[in-house]
Amino acid sequence: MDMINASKISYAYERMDEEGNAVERVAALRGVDMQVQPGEFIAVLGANGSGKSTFARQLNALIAPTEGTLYIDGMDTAKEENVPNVRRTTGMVFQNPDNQIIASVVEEDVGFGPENLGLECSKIWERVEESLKAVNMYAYRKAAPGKLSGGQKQRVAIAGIVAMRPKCIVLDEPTAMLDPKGRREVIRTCRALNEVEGVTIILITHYMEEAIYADRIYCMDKGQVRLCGTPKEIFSRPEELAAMQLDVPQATKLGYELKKAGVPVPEGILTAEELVEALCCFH
Amino acid sequence: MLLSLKNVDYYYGKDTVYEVQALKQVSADFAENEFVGLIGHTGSGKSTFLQLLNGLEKPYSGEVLFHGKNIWDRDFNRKQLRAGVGLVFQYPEHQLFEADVISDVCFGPKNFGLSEEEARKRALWALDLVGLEKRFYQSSPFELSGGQKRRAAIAGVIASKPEVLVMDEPTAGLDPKGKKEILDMLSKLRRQEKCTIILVSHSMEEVAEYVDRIMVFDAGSIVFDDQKEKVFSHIEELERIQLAAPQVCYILRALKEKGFAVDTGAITLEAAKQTILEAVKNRPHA
Amino acid sequence: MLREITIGQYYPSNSILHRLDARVKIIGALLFIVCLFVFHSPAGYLLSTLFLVSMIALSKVPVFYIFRGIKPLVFLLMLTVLFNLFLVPGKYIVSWWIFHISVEGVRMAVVMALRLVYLIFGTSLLTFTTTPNNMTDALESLLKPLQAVKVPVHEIAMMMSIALRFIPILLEETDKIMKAQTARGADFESGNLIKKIKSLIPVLVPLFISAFRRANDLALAMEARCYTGGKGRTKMKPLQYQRRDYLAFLFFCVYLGLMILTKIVDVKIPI
Repeated sequence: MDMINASKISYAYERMDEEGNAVERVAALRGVDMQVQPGEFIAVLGANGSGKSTFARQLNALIAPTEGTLYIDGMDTAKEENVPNVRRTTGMVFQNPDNQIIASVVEEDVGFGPENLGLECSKIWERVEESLKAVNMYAYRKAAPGKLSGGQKQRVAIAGIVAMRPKCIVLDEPTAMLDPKGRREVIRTCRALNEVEGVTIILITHYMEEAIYADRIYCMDKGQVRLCGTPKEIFSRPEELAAMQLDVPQATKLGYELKKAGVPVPEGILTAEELVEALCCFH
Repeated sequence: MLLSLKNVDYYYGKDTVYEVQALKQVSADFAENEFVGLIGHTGSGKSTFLQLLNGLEKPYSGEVLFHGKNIWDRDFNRKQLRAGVGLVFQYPEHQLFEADVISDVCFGPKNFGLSEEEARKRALWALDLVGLEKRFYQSSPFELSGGQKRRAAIAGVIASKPEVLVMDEPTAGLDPKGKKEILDMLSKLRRQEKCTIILVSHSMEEVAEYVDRIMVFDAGSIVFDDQKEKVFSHIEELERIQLAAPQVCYILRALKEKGFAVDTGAITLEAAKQTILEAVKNRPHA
Repeated sequence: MLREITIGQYYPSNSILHRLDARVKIIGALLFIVCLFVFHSPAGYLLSTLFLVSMIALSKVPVFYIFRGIKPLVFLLMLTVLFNLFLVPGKYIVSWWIFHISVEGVRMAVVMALRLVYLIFGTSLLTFTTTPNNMTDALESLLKPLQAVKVPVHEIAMMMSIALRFIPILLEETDKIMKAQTARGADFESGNLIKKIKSLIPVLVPLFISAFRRANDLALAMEARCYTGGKGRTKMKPLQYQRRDYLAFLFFCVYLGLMILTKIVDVKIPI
């Protein structure tokens, strides 16, 4: 069964003026298709306002599509009775780590989800311990979230989701507010969860370098999926990406420029090593 | 010298158990029309440094001089200093508060003593410079998109026509195109107004592309302060303090090791492309 | 300046007082306060002092830290002392112009000051040794009977704990916004009261917007983590009385007993 099966989903909302009257209908999503298999690592790229956050919220049934259907692990998110199970299946990590940590002690925050699920006390502790270890934050279990760095806070937030044992984790720009060190920590954690625990990961970002580890990339623009494919396929088309206000990693861009200047370099170079190797091969 | 710091020490929680020395004997000079990049980790002292530049924080010891005058002298007007040294904080859009964009941009100039009419003129100029479309001038700043809000907020500082413009990560959270637009705008501002720009950034590629000189902060000290090419030639030292050089530097180094005659001093994409093309042309095919 | 307030903060340590069940501590603090106001014989104060001193010693919270808690209330304290000192009639010992100080006045001033300081010490000792989360859990548990009369006890407790988590964040944010507006030439110090209040608008508007944005984000994050209110929720750290808690209750009973005894026997301590 598909982990995620979105077919032609659209979402529109009414923008209100100050008196609360609808002034216009804003279409945030226009017919998005997406099929994700269990265990895949998917990156969703898109500029600000491309609809990627709206799409993320659909996956957690925080909002339901106004048109089209969305099945999460076989459950229709539009059906009210499925909502609790959808939320157990797909966990959601948001952009601002400060605004999603509820408790004043790390371990209590990680326990918040399992408490909501009504688990037994001993089970909660087991899960808290296990998920803090999975994100490498066990040493900080008694710490106050305010004293942690941005990357550490975001890992605590991820642990809070992992503790609910979701099959899929959706991360909505989890690195946008972090420094490079924090970003590396968070991405490493995502990859570990995917490889070691087999969790399906949907990483929404506009840092191109973070997308190169994905199995597949979806590029969104104006509420639609414009491109979809492996990182190599996607990054072979820097001009199309630029039209969507996106970019490519610097090594990719250099490779592309060299190719344009007549140097025989293959398409879709992702890392510095690949480019060096390619140049060595031909000369 | 336009703006300088001399042997500045700064502490947080001085004389408590939580005492931390944020800056240790820091000295720096900024001349007219420079474009300087500040890099370093969160907690390396960059933010404190920025706040010392316009008198928001007072050094524990040492001096801050603007046009050669100590800004902490009793008769120095620190309010006017802030018109001369504009500081744009991280996520400046979180400080918007007026009912419409143009009034918000007027806030600074009016505080610095300009008349209503003059402030408006300045605001229009600044809004045009940051590239915000005219139809947004009268709308509420809270109805704008993220990138537009950011520009409106930056215009609010630029409107005071500062001689030194200090920017703390102005591109944080923006998408690639939004980032490029802000940075291009800074370059243009520097060209047109001949002001000095001090830019904090976490992106080495960004810094390599836009600034001339780089200052590297680590644990409350400035470890490098030099032309950008020279700073990025110290890859090992940068990595030791968990920073890095732009990706092209690594590519060029690796190519050199493989026997390509490339110039490893190139740090921008364009320069790297040129030197690789030359090396490839001169290299006989294997 | 905002960060100097220690009252209501938690002081991390692992003393016996820190480990006691928060419910015990709340009941203890209430008992202490009630006794302070009901038994005001010299013997009563002596007992209160003994109780307080031993609790401070057990808590391992540095004494200077506890004293700092009075700082924001110094003005109130002075006012109380001065009023009592000059306005209580009786046998005057000092008289000058319209000022008269009586023996009773001195006694009242001392007694009132003592009461206030003890009150602050007692309650801050409670907050110093109890994490905000434990406190709200304990309150939720102690107030549970009110659920019968439709008081949303769980929701109130949850609101309290979230408020406690966000207070430091919002304080930091206030500081940052003030600095940012100062950089744009705002002036928060000079001018008359009306001007000063007006100068706060550029701080308050962004602060409220930020608070609402955070509230919105947090609500979404809680919903995404399957929060649907108190129903069906279990507790990671359920409150359970241990042996030390029963011992503490016993100790409180002895304390109360002794207090009542001072009333009956009327121990004479000359002052």
